[in-house]
Amino acid sequence: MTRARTAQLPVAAPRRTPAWPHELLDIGQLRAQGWRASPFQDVVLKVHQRCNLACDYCYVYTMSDQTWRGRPATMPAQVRLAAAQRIGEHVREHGLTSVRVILHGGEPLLAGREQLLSIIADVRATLPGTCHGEFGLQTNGVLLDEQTLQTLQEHSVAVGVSLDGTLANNDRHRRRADGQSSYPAVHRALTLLSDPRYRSAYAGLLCTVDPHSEPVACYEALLSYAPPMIDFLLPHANWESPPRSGADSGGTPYGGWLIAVFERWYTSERKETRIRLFEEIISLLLGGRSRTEQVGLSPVAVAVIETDGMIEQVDSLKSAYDGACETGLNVLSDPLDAALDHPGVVARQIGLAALSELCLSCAVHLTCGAGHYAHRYRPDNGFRNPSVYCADLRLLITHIRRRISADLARHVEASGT
Amino acid sequence: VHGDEAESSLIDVTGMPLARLIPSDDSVLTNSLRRLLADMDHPQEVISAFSNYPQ
Repeated sequence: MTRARTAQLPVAAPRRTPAWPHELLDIGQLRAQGWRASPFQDVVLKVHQRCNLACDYCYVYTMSDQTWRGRPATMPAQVRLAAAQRIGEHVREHGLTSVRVILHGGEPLLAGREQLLSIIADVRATLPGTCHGEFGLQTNGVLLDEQTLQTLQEHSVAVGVSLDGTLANNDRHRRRADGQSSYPAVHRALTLLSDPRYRSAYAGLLCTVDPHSEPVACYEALLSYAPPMIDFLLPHANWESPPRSGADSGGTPYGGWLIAVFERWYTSERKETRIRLFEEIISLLLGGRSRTEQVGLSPVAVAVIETDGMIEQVDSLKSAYDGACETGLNVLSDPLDAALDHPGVVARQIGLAALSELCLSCAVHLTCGAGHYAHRYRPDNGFRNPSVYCADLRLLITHIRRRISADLARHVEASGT
Repeated sequence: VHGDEAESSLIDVTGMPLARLIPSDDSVLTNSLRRLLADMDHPQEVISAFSNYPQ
């Protein structure tokens, strides 16, 4: 069922180009100082523009950006072929030995198996033999039946599913447009996906944090589906549209919630699953690098191709303002390389130079990295700000640091060194 | 570093014999230290992946 839109959707504000990075970032100076762009290694293909759920926090439909309304529901063949050719061109231009293509939406399974297989075949056909093409698909799980799963597995497509924990947690936000629960259908899909036969096709679970839910029960509900990985995402918010649970007012409900899950996960004798946010924070605290855009300062090398062929920045920016993802480029006329010069793309690849003075003066900035870029937005100055979740992130990072430091000290003492 | 800053900055592991410190278990800490050592042994460019996909 295609999502029905109602009059309660927000009216898009006039398009505003933020001062930073669009006007104030001097890309010429960065290049003169030796900075070079990192080529895109994740390409997100928006294979279907609509969704069969009506999640109340969805950044595609319920927040500032409403560009989905003007795009074709599915990717026309001409766009599909151009997108594949642009990916192959980018891989050859930069000599990439691997690239990951993520089939996304809306709900990508609405595109149907034939369309998905055509896209995968088109992309694979453009990749040189020296490049490994990895394919993933992120779904709400409602349409993930056994035949679809078998097909995806046969074509080496890994599947990620979005689920917010228990039935009660999930139904609080992730309902169908008619108000019905999505949980039974997702439960069926995850029961299939967690079957050992399909393990190789199981990427993991995404869960959006709701501080009103019970954190350990939420984690254990996710764990019951034996995911190889879980990631906990903060609901998209910014300084203009702050989190619903008051993280902007000095409280730390999200930090407290995440600490409760961390303790349950960390104190298990055996590592039960990977939790990306926590693993990356630990890596950063130990002096390593982050592999997620939620924390840290590693370059973000993600391009999004919409159903109309537009090359865009990461889609979570849709939560900031209408048109925030735009680069003005299209695969029908432009190479992916052209997007590497866009201020919004550059801003996410320059590490410390993208942080505000306030962030740079904070002791956790090398770990936090100012948090998710979308969460830094303020209409008056753009994206060079602390995260609207600053206090929560600091609380979580400080807690994890204390835990790891104490355990390392205990190991050093026990080893007699 | 002092006080709050000491609580918040990176953990200094430069003087620690990490390979010898890694316990023979499958805990989160053990896996984190193994990853750190692997990253040190095989340094490569690290890219931040798309967060709306769990892999």
